[in-house]
Amino acid sequence: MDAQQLKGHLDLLLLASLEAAPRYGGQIIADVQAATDGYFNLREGTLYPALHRLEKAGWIHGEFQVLPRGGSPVKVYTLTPAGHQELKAQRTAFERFSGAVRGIIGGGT
Amino acid sequence: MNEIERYLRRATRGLSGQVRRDAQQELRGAIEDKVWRFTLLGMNPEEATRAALRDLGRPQAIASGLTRVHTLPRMALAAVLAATATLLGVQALAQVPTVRAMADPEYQSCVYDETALQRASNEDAARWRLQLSQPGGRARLEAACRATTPSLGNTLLRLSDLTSALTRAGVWVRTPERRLEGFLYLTFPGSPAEQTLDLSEYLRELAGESYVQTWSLINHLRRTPGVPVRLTGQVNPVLHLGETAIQLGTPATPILATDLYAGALSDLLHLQPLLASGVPLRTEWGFDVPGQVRSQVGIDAPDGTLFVVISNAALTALNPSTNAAYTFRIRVARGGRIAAPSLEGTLVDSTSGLVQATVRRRPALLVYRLDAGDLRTLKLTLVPASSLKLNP
Repeated sequence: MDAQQLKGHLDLLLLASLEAAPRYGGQIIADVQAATDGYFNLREGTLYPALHRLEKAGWIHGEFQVLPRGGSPVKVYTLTPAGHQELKAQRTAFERFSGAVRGIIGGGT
Repeated sequence: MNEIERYLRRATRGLSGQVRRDAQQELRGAIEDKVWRFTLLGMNPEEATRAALRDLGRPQAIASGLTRVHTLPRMALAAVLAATATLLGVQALAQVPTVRAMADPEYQSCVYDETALQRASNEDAARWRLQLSQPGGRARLEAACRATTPSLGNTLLRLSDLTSALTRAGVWVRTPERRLEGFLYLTFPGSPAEQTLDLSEYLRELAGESYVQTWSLINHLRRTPGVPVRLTGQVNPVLHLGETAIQLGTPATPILATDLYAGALSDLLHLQPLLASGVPLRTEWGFDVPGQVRSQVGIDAPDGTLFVVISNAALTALNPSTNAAYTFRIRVARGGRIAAPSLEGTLVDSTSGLVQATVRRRPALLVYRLDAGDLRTLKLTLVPASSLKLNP
């Protein structure tokens, strides 16, 4: 998937990846890749600025945590209550958008 | 390791201060995580490091992305808001609104667990580990931490309290449309220009509320060009921003003005040029250990006059630590005296005199009068040793 196509849905993708549980950057990349069978290949140069932007907006909150294996702490992001709301709104918007596109291009439901 | 640090520096170019340190810490964690995964695949540490950095891509790409996020676009001045603010200024209340303070649990804890040790510098962490390994070491370390933790580090102000106090004092407070906690636009009565106060990087969440460190707030206000910033009173001082005033702290959780002055001066870049001397001193904020016996310096000044006392005690100690520096303290004159930081010491007249005393391993003190009439432009005036008297 090209960068431009990814860009429009990046926030939704990141918020959704944090819905079930807090995650750090490396986990988000791995999760997104696994969930989409490698269709989305998030790069760090895209991921970290986006995470910082979402944190500034108050939708996610990052906290440094040391992993059980030790070493330097990783920054673990959690969805805030505002983030949950934003996710809901973006998800609805996306569903309406993809429904509308499907209506035009035809094909499956 | 050097390779990683070089990468981190390049990937965070354009950021500064705490934002940069945090971003480096986050990326360091991410790189180590990758290195760890690659070593599980059978690579040796060098191969794994190279592969991890290659995987992360060009550091410039990360740097430009991060810089864009952390550099907010400047907003245009709003003439309508300025006009409204002037109206509000007329109605400014006589009563000074209070911002309550609370203890900062992070500073108060003085906990030396693995997380704290990981966050500390290597030198500090090594020193702490050594102390922790000794019998009773943990208790001693925690007690020393509690004794020397400055009260300023202990106080947080609730952001919502602060904005409502500013509003009641007559300041027009506006927040950006997009919810960005801690990012405030302030318009002061009588001043047409809107000032930006960005506390967003310095907020702490506690029980769903946002707090800002008192010290952080003062240092941010000092860099806000629009209005003079000044404090009156020593305990729970009144913060004057131009013609508006708010009180910081309550008897339950007091705030000391001296801590806020010290916080303003602890910015090395700020203190250094004020010393007006060719000899650079590496200075740190010195803390008083409660109960320690100190001497007095006689000084001809009215009560309440502020002084900065610079001491070389840490450098002339029997076994000075490798990162020892000159220390400075803020003192308030009472009955023609100020407290010296230690029991011994001679008085010197200049930074070079202080350096010479240090070379001879003699404890010495250098005293300046602090003019804090406007915190944005603190002024120091050297007090000649001849006008001071040790233990009068």
